[in-house]
Amino acid sequence: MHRLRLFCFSLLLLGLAAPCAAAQTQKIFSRYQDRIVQVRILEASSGAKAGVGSGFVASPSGLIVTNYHVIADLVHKPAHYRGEVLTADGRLAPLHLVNFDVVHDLALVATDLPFRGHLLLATGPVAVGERVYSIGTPLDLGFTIVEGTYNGLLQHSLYEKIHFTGSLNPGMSGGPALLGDGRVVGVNVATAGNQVSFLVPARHVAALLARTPDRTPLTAEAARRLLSHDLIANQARYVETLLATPLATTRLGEYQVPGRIASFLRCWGDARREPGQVVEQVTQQCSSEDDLYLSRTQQTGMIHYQHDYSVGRNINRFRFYALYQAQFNQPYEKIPAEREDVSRFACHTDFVRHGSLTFKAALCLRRYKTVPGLYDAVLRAATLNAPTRGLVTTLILGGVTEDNARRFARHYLESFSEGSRPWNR
Amino acid sequence: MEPLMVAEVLDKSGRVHERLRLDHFPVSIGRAYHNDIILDDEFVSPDHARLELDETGQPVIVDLASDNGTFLLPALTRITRQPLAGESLLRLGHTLIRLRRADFQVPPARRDNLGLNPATRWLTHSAGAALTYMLALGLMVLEHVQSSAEVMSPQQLLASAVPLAVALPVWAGVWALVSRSFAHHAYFVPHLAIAGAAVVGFFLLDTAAQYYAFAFSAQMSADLVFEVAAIVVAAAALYGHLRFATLLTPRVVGVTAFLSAAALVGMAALSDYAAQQEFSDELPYPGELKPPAFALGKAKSPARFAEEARTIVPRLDSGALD
Repeated sequence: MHRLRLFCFSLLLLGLAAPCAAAQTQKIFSRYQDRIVQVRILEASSGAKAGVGSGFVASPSGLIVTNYHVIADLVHKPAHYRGEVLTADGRLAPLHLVNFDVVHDLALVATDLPFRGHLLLATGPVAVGERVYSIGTPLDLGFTIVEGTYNGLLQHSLYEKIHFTGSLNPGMSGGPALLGDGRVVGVNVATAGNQVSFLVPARHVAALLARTPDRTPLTAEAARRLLSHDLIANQARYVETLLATPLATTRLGEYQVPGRIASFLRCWGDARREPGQVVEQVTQQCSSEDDLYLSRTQQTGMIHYQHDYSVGRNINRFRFYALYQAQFNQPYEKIPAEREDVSRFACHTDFVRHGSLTFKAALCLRRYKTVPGLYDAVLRAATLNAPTRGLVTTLILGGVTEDNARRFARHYLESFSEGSRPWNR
Repeated sequence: MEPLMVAEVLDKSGRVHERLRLDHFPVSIGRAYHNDIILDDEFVSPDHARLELDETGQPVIVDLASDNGTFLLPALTRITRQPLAGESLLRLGHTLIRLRRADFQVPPARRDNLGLNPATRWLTHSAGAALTYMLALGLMVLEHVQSSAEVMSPQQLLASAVPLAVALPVWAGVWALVSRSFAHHAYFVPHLAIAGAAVVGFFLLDTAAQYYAFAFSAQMSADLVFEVAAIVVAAAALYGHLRFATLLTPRVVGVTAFLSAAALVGMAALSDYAAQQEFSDELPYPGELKPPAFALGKAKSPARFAEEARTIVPRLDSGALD
């Protein structure tokens, strides 16, 4: 061992570190692959593969960790899907769902297969730059190890994730990302392409394991209750934070508008001032750029808002308002969902006055058929205080309670005000 | 004195095809050219029947052993010799002949309000039609300018009027052809005026509905109100076109226009219903925005607005939007 390290050291001096790293990768793979599995979701009637992911053994009792999104079909359509586990040495056995954490995209499943050991979790601090080895079955191509780098927790994210620089591919979801000592630092969950990938921090796995007393299968009814409970608690968490204080505002034209109201939001802006156009537009938008996977067709748990400021140039108020109306009716940032997931929208519309500003406002909600008590909310409002300028704002909340939708709509509208002209024209 | 009679040869739809004054009897009827009444009908014998007067001066129809016979309607009894009283309807071959006495009382003339109605006078006047046409084009251009985000050149303005400028005369032309066929006069000018007036009507109704929806913060878009109003305008236009294009009575035209409009309402309602069955992630709020001066509804505080938004969930829970 000592000699090997020395050997590596001398090679490093020669600028030939690769064989050393390769040896380490090889060692990790061969040592831990018997604790890593492929999780397969099968269409119940035909037995055809509907999806594959990865997983790893994480407790002495043989609980297997994977992603919620790998096994979501078992939660939503337990009658239509079943799952099975394939080990690296080719053993195959049915699995059952034990517990899950939809907010952190984690799930625990169990099988009757015996495992020789389990992986340990690295819940302590990890240095940025440390090597991380991610294992899984990318694209159903067999067990594979990918080397990458730990790049810390995402700074601005609604749902805590580790930034992993390495190639994760579909099928690796749920697999472990290991440190050099074999401890799990995170669970493979997503990729933005080009080596930008994300892991669920191991502490969420530890928390889920801690609240899972045994391997008892989760009934369909209990799964639905758990889903509902977790999602409602999650939206309460961030909506309450946003409601607790006045929203941070920024200036847009003559208006003060909600700016970056939380650290988990990312904001962008752009302007359109083109010759030959009779209206100038300035747009600002903020988004959580992060959402929760609920099912194949439905996503939830995002917040997005956009302000479109318009000023008419040498046009009368009727023409300005015709164009402003088009702005008020422009498409909004859709929340993915289908008929089996949600109802259609219903709206409440009225004139709203706050301070010197009058709005035409519409609050629209649609009901989740999948999770009782949750709604997607869209608030759209247009200021009506000037003949040839105005601001259309659109707020989108994915998966909130009706009460929170209304409370936040109010809070949001109350944060608008009219200021002085910001620039000399 | 011999009774004067009138023989009316009717066409298949019962309209008078030929009307003959009979003052010399007997009157011979048949396909041959020596007859007094020549019937161009291959089912009629060359010498088919004779109309004569008996001793008392009453008219009598006598069948001349024709191949297909002579019938008295409506009973359709085959006759060889039959005295006729008052008005009679005869069938020879496939031809109907109505015999009436010359002193037959015709009803008084029906009032024709087409020529008396000021609206009609205005429609038939070229200046009225031209004005309506220009107004329709003007509104079209205005609408185009209003909804365009670009600075528009005069050429673009003119170009935006072209589709309607062509469509209206074409439409009026089609109706003029119909008129020419059924009413024997083209009436192009009134048809153009009616088409122009319909466009103006649509525009005004649409605008009014939009302003209403905005001003009072209606919970539904003005589209629905407009749909109904548009059908009323369409019915009125159809009534106008049909009045000029046919010789039907105002009552028949009115009923036709009303039924057509009702069918349109029904179809619109049906398609609305069908659309409601489709899943959609559209936001069904009324999208009208007008200058602030038209915001007539009372503005609420954000708190009040949020409170009143409680009405949304019961609508969702009813399952109607699933």
